[in-house]
Amino acid sequence: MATVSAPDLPPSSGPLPVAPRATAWVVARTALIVFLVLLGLALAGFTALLGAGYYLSRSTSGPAPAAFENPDSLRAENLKIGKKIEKLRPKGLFLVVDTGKNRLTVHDGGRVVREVVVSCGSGGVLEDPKGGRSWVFDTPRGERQIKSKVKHPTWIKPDWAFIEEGEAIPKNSNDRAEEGVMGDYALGIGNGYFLHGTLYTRLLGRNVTHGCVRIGDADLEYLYKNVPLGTKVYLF
Amino acid sequence: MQRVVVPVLLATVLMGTTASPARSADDARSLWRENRRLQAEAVLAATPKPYFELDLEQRLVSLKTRGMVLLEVPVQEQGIWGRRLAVGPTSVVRRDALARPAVAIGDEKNPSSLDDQLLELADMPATYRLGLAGEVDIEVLPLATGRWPLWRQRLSVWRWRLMRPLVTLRQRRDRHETTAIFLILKPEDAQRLYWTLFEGLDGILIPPR
Repeated sequence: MATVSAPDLPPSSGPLPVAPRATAWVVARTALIVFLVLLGLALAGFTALLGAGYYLSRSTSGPAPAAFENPDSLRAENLKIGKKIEKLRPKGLFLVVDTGKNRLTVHDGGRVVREVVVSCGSGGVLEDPKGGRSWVFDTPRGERQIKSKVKHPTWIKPDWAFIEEGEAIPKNSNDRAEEGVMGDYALGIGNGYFLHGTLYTRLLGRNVTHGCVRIGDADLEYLYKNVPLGTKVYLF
Repeated sequence: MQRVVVPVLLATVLMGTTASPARSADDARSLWRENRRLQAEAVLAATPKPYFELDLEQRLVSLKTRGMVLLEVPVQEQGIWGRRLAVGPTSVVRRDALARPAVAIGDEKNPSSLDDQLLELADMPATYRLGLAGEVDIEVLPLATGRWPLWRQRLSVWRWRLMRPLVTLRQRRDRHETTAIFLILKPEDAQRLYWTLFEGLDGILIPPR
């Protein structure tokens, strides 16, 4: 029976030097493969999910009807409707009020002939402390027309004007009249709303009114002299 | 020479015959979409009220009255997912609320005291949600400025693009599918749009093809 005595062993005894490297390499290689496979699966899954989601859930225009069959009749109909809309388009002299930018533009014959800085509604809410009434100070939007033109207008103060100033609402209607606060001219656009002058010209360009459109003196005079009754006013 | 010319001619003829029906179908589709838009507009333009046009094909939101454009806002970036839409009429049924200022019983001669009583364009939000009739949800975001905010916005848009299909699939499973749209606008345009699109405003929705 052969025995190996301790002194016969090499000076640095233990496992062979190649073995740990091989094990580490196998582990690293396996880990890399697993990582790549997982990464590939994740990417494939992600792409599939994205693609499926995209094609299944992308919203576009709906299916086309049988009208496709006769494009010529569609073309003719489109032309007809287009002409109908064209007829509705404002022509001649009209006013456009941009309540957000506080600008009034005078249009004539398809071009802007004057741009005016104005003041529109403040958007504020006034609550009547004594009752359940409330007022929202917005300038109305939509189409209106010049219904009246007044020189040296007198303001007939509504209830909210007294409430806002903390005053009692008068019983006598004569006590509601106030001269000079609306400027030299007023152009009525219906429902108690006017294009009128202001004492507070420094506030032009800001939303400070109770719904009317305030205009500076020179521009107001121009409008009074050049805009006839019945002129359309488009407010947005 | 003939060897070259004949196949080229054949290929041209073949391409012509295959492309032509597709083109005519495309033309017909365009005509049909235009027809739907015009029909919707003819109804709205006949009323004295302003109306909007959300054109996701041209990437443009406009406010019109009587067929005349009052305001146009270009869309910087957009996304649309969910239930398919057709060109047609719609209306604003929901808009993120904005608290209106209470009018103080005071004196308007002093402008500084007015500032917190006014609701002006600059006070409008640039990030908000709108709901259109037919369960269409719109998220309006302001275009980010600066390098990092822009990257953050791109990332959040991609997150939206990734997550939204999953939401749509879940909705489809639950048989309650909606349409989700996001619009990125310049901040001032987003504010203008909030000012303009109020609840109850009618309009026309034009989805992309």
